[in-house]
Amino acid sequence: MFKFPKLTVFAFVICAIALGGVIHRYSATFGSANFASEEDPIVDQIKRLVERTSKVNLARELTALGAQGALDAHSCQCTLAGIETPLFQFEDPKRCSAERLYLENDLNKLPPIFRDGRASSPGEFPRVCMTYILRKNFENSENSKTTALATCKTADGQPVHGNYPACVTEKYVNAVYNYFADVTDCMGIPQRDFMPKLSVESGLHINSINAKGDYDGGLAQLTHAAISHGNDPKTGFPVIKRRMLASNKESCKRLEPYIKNFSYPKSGKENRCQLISVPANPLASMIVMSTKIIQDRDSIAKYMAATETGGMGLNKNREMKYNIIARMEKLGLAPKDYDYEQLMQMMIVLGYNAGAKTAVAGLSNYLSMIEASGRKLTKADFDIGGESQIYVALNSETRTLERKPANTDAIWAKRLATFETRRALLPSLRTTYKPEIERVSLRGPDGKSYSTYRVDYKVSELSYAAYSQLYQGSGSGGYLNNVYNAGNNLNSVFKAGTCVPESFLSL
Amino acid sequence: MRTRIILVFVVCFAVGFLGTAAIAQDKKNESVKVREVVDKSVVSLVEKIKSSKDLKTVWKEFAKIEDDATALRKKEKRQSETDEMYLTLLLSALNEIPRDKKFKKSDCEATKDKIYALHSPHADEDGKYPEFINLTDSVLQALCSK
Repeated sequence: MFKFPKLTVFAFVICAIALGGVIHRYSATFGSANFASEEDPIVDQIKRLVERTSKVNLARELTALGAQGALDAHSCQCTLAGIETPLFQFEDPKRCSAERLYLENDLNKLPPIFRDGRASSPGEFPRVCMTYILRKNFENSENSKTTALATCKTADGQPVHGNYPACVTEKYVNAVYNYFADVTDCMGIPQRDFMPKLSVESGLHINSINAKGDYDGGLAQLTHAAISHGNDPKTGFPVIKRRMLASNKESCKRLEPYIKNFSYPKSGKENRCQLISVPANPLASMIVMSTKIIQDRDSIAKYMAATETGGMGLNKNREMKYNIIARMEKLGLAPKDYDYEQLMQMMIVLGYNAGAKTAVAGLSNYLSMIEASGRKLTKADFDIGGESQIYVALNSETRTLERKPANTDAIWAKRLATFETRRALLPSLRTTYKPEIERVSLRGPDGKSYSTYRVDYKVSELSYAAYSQLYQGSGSGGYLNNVYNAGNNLNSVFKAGTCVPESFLSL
Repeated sequence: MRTRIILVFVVCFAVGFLGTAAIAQDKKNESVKVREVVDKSVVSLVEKIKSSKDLKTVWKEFAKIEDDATALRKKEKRQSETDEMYLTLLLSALNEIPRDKKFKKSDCEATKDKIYALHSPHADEDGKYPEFINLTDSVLQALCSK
């Protein structure tokens, strides 16, 4: 008589379940090609789609998968890195830790027209540019708390340094993208020209904050003086507000109800959360930033205008006029030989960090130096990406790379390594003049000697790019280079001209 | 006798040569201190503002300092690039201070913000502003405290 092997069958079933569990567990882990895809399995799914799906229905498949970031990259046909690139994808709020979800509730309070994706946008660039910048800024440190990000306990209080990078969800990217596109379009600001600068300043993070000093806060990273000056009744927001409300542009019409009731933020650091907290932002920081850009643009155009010869001081009406364009022409660089808009852009980028008047005064001083030397000015003198990088962070008095008292061994080693990398790159960079570089020994503030570099150069041979690194007078010496490099980076991940103009900061 | 004459001649020549060289060096040193001259005149302006009873006399002095500084820069040889930039920015920042009837104490805060926004919106890593900003600020504060 057949006896049913209950025990054997039971054991078999248990083993099958256990084996299935093990296989399932390990296929999820080992099946992933790399760390990034283990973090975000949608990347693997996109990869598989790209491998087996024809281009005709890829968009449909990506939509079905909910891979909106890859869909953005696919739709614009603008990336060089492949649509499956992890930094092109939105982060899934379900996969972000609770500490990183602090913006989500407040983002839900934004008007849907700014929070949701739009069928058509006034953006001159695809949304994926912003997704990339937001994610690139804290790549591989998403789960670490940083003093570069702030927490706001109240909507108009003083921010507290320290927070986790917010989860880069589709909602977050939409909010930054839609407000940026509408505000800049309404104010007539070229959008792609400001992507590198914002990438350097805040990485587009709403709660970005300077770790020291002036509480440069929010997406635009503005300080007390710049915020306050932005509300100047003759040149600032009151004037721009009237223009925005009078405009018939669609972007202005969308913003109209919010602009009418917009309360200009207070400039004190005790109120800096007014430029950080959501839902007042990103609108507030976008408006203040765009106002500053317009103010700076107008000031720079005025200061560059010609009335006085020499540009060394005051004219008879005691107004500072630098006579830039005519002097450049006299030195051999006529307006027909270069792109004036890019020269303006260079001044605006520099002005944002060092002040609009400082930017023009610096260029004027450079021209005075060239005038005194007797040599001609060429377009190569404005080549930001060339040999000028070797002068970043040099002490212009001693012409050496100096160790600062606050530099720990690790920081100093990093600074030296950065210099050495730039030095190694020097032969491959576009160069009009090569300085002499030698190893020297200096004595530090603690009395101990250390080895460093001295760059010996002839001042009259310096390009404007190099000169501005060394003798800017205020602001960060390497700012122009940093912004230029950020633009180059974006133009290497995306097809040139997608997120940043191809000729960005090139005359 | 002849040897003595030659010796006296050589000594006189050496003294004359070295003396002339020293004077020339002094003159050379004098001519490269435009920044010091301008700084001193601005510092003295601050003192005059503080001690003056009427700002009317101050405005003339203020304008003279700016004109003299501009003239001195044109007359003297080019300074170090650091000093050239300093002088340009100092004159530029001072130029933003309203004069005569345009100066209103109620606008002092806005003027200060404008000067900083146009010339140095950010402090450096140590929280310090450039020296030309501090000197300009001292002139503005002296005027605003009258």
